[in-house]
Amino acid sequence: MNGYSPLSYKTDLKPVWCPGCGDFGVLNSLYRALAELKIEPHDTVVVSGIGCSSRLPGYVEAYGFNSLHGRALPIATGAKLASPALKVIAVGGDGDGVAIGGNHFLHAARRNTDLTYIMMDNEIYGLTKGQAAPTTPIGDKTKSTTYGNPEAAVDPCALAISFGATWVGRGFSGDVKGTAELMKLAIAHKGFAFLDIISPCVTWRGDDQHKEIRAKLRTLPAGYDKTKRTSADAYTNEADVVTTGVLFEVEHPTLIDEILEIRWKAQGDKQPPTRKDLLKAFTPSF
Amino acid sequence: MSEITFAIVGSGGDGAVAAGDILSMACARDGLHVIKTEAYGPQIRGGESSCTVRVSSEKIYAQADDVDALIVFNWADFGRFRSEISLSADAFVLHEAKDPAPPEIATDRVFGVPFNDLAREAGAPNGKNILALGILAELFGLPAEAIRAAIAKRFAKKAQAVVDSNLAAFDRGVMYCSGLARPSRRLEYVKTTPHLLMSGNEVCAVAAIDAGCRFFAGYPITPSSEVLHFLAEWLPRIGGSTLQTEDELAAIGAVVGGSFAGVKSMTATSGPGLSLMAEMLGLASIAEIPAVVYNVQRGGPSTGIPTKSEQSDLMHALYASHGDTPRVVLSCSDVEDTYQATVDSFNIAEEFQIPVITLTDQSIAQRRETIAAETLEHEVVERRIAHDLTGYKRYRLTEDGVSPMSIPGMSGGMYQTNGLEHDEQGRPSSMYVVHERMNEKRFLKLEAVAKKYRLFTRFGPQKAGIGILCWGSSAGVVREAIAKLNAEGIAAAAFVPRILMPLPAEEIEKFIASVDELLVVELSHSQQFYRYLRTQVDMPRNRTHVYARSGGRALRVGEVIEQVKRFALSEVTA
Repeated sequence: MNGYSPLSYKTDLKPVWCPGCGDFGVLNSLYRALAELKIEPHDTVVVSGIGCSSRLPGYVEAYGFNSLHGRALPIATGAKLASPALKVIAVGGDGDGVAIGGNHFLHAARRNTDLTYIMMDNEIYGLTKGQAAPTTPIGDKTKSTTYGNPEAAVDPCALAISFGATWVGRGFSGDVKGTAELMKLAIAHKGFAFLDIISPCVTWRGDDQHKEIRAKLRTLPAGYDKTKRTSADAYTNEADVVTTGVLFEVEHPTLIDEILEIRWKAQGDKQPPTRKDLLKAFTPSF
Repeated sequence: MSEITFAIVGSGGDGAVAAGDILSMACARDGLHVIKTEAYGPQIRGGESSCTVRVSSEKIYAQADDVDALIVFNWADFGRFRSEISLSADAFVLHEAKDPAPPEIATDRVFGVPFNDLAREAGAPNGKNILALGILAELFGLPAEAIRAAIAKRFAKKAQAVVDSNLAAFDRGVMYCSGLARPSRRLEYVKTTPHLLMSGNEVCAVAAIDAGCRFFAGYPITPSSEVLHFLAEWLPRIGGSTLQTEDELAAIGAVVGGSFAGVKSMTATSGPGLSLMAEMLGLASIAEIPAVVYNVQRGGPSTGIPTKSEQSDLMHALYASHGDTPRVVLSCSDVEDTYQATVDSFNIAEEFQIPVITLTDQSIAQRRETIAAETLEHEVVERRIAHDLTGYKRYRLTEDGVSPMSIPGMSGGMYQTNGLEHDEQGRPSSMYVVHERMNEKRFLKLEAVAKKYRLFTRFGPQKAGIGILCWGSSAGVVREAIAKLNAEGIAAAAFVPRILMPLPAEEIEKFIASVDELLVVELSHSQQFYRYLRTQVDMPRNRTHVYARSGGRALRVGEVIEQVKRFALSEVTA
């Protein structure tokens, strides 16, 4: 590999995404973030679920795992626990992470699992051709909501904060550089980092998506206290506004920290257990 | 062979199960063979409990059909288990004297014993269970010295007075027998080397550690949780870890992730969990990731009877998941065999990069059985790792379908794995030719497994008038039935495939050819094993009989003998 240039993280696989898809921007941001952090490709695992955006691991020079719909986080968790030296990044769409995989999102965050979770959020099911997602605004007409979506949308960032994620941010795929900066922070964070990237689907949400979202973009105000959960209340679940930036960041012991602590409690610097120790409870030694 | 089966029934606090534990451990110490089962009322804590201990001078393979000696502290509690406890014709029944025996206890050997008063007199008001052990030991010739030592060990962490009073209770029980009638049988045995006393779940956990498993993810479920418990204690001590997941989807997901990252990984579950794991089995299969799923069958469907055994997850284990999904299914036929089955499961999963389901059931998983420590040994096979990474193709087509695997962290071994159909490099493909070739590759591995792992057991004479085909926990019962039938002069044999997928069909056909009549025995109302056999083996319709019934009650030796005689005795003796 030629040093750590964004291009060196690109595979020869051509993305299946539609022209104008926001995921191209996300992918470019990821190349850039990995290069700038000098992340070793062979020490990196990119895991995804199913959906348009879940094709991403194939396009990144790293170990990749395009798994099942909704199950990127359990697989990523297993890989990280089994081999803690790996840098594990989970990616996927909003339907994948908030609908079918919602329970795993909750628990990966709650455990403060040492993972970066990047959600490409297009507010729609793209791969299945345009049905409403849990992130689709109420009232929107989609293939599955002929008369308008009857359900209120959720903001994945608000969920992540309430679930216990220790780093939560939001970016916009149209801002490759700004999103790369957010990714760098997310990847460098110790613990569960969740980055929601608004990534327009021009095919099912309309050609004007980029323009419309760009018009809604705001940044966090100066003096924003990202260490307080309540600070994010005003900048999540917003109507007609999309606020980007680091919404929340705290430091807590991570799942790997806890596991190392457990190993120490269990074994410490004692001699490793023998087979006799292992079978002690079953041995009639009296 | 000299054997006696004891049952102790009481309420929470009566110490029925504790007495069974002490008795079992003492017998194990003196080299006797023991199978101990427990049953509880529906209450989470307290409530009625029953403990059954079969003690034998020779190796045993199943619970006994009947109880020879019954201790009842409270008849109301006994009522709860009445349908599950069958008394032998000469059963000896000892009950609390203040609680008169109900008239339906039809044996002339029913004796009231003032357990509570005697224990109090001995200075151990909570020691009536220990007192009962004294009585049993004296009446039935149990190893009294070992029981006394087990009692001392049991209470070793308490004050010396507690040990002394319990020993006094035991001795009081022994003395009390001078005024009692004597049972018709006593245990005859020679003290030998000690055995281990373990449950199937405990053996599975130890085997997993021995096989090299260092990551376990699971969701609590009866009757498999003991595997999680044991590994949660021991894996951190040897550099491994356990993860209690949010559900079984995550459990098998984490196992697939851990294994992908290069660590031998496993989950343990029961039917409802296996149902949730179905989709991920397909992913492990197409992505060719080793994964071991230990499934403890219980009564189903749905929540069914969580605390009772059945053999009705067979079809699900064999076929769960959509698409053409190769996987290997092994079975455990007793506690000891659980060790071999578990290590083999890891060996096959790792060598052939395939999900392996280790099927057992509640009766094996939760009963405690004596096993010889030296049986807990088995060769361990490691994953085929791609060391030469020049021109590396993760899913390279090979002769046996196995493509050496690179592990994240290995420089130059990067690839993308996929639940999508993929080419040799792991790149997604929807081309028919790729799909066909890759299906062939993945199924080729089953042929390689079939060649290397012809796991089966055969009992009885080489030529027989009747041959029984069974699997899993039925095998122990059938084995004892065969021994009795053979002793009666009936030429009966049995064949037990220990690997169910790929099935050793050739060996089964040889077995079928070696017997006149065939009897399939299983605990599945819908005859899952028989139906499966019919898809794999040419079953002779005109001489095949099926004995399949619902689980929820252990298969009985007498039941199998009865079926053999009913279906086939005329042909056998003719």
